Amino acid sequence: MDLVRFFVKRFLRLLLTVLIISTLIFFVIRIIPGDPALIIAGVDASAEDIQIIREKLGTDRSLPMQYLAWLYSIIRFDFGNSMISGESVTKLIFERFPLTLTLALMGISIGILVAIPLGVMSAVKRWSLWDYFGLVFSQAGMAIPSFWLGMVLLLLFAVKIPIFPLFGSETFAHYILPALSLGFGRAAVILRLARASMVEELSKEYVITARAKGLTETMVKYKHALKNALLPVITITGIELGYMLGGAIIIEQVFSLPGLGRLFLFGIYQRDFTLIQGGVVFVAIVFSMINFLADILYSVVNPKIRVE
Amino acid sequence: MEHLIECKDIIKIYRGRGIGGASRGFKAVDGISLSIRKTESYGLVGESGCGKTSFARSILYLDPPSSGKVLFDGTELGALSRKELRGFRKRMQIVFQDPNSALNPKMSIHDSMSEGLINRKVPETDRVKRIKELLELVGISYSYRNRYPHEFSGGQKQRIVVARALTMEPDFMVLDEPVSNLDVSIQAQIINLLSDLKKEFALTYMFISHDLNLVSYMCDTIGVMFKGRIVEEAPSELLVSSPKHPYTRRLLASIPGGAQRSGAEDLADEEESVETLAARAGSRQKEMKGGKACPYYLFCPLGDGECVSSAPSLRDMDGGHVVPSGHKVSCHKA
Repeated sequence: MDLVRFFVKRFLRLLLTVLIISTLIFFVIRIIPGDPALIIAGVDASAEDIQIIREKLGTDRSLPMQYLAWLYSIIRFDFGNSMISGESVTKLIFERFPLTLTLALMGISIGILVAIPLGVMSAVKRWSLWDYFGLVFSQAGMAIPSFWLGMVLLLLFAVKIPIFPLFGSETFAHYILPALSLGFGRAAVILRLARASMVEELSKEYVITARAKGLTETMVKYKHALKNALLPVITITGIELGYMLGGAIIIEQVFSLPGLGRLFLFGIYQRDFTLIQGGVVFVAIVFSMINFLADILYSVVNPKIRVE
Repeated sequence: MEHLIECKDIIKIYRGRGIGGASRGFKAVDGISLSIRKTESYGLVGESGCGKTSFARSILYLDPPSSGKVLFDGTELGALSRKELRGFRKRMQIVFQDPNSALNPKMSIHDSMSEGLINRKVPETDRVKRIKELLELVGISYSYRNRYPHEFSGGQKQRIVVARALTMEPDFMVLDEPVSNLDVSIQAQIINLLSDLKKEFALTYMFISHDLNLVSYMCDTIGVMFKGRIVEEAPSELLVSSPKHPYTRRLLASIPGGAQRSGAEDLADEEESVETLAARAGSRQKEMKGGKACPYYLFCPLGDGECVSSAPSLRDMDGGHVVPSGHKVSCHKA
């Protein structure tokens, strides 16, 4: 019962977050100087033309009416049509989303697969060669910009040794290099946290108690300490994944991948207001949902959170 | 009576580790030898950071000593293989100061309690029976067995920790400040529980505390620790009534009403202000260099040249009595 109440509470929080962000977007767009209708119509347009565009955009109505219409459109998941191409923004986003989703999931998987074993080993064999390797790895991961890594990987494994395709997004192989460049930095962050968290758990007294029970070291470290150490890793992984789902502008640019990041980037270049506002709300919704899922997962594996 | 625990020259050094390699080690335990008889309660007192906990963990081989020998019921723990040592674990258990971190937060108390039994391949019916008995013995309803640690209060958790330790049917229990994290009203409950359990299961205790009053109530023998060493050891009564080491005297004088209880008449006059101690420590800091001096010289009201040139070792204070009193002091001036 507690669990259900917890889920409902978290879900309401998700809705509240989306509402706040939608409201902010609405007003920010309206505070920005310049009438979108004027921008679309161009400087030579007649007053009638501008009025027609205003009606189409709905900007001729009163502010409260516009706000309600905006919220209603979000509920229907309809962000209007692009000011440039006239296509449905929702459709544009969902055309690009599978690519971004694939890239993000692969990136985070690489991050987790590298970071957790390395971080945990670093903690268990603290100040050993392993640990120094882990620390150097994570330092490098945080210091090296992903676009640089992406270009180096392209140069090495697509040009000099052509085992991966250079551009495009048709096959699985196309995703490997971008996912690696994306995952490396994520791995660095997760590794740091996994190590710190494991070191902390290993110093706790229940670990010594477990040892006093006569359990083997493997049981003590992995059954007791590791399970507790992974809890904060769930949260950070959720946040990292949420970020990546908003599109990886730089990596998409380096690898010429038509993902969400590039869609929004071009929207900004072209002052495509409807696309930008739809994009921001979409990213906010996805981010909140991922965090919601991470919270749920966290509460399922951690008996402590449910009561609080 | 037979000894359950015999420690000889236990030293525990923690190596400083940091990027850039080795730094100086810290000697937390500096050559302690002591013996505990079967069913005895041995109290270890001293201020925080004096190495009590390090010593306890060392002799249980939870964190093996850097050097020295521990004989547990005649078996040298250091000579055992890992596997043999694990077999010995059940016979010695530990209760920690902080019950909040002593239980795995992700395991129900039933799982925490049964784990050690499963590990020893105790059949399920026996496991359930024992857990039920022990929980009820410490005053926790068996119906709470599937709850998690955070659902209990500090005092309840500590009782669960004690019950958990007892599932292993130990001979020896280290109680590492088992009540100092609890409310005063709960402390007495736990202390009484521990006393009752000791009688019921014929346990041998090592009771660690910074509270000399409590230890003298709980224990048969008291060892006073200062900077990794035992400076005085005696049967409780004797230690309280005629403390010999200036540090023990200071500890006793600092207990409210301690001087009256002690019977050592001059004790009340000895209580020195923090300022006096600090001033003395300041002026003696330089003399301590070289490492030969008695560690307590820094604060000692009796210290002189002899104490600077050589550190005293623990010696018997029997003074020609036929029956040894068991009073040992490490002080040139006692």
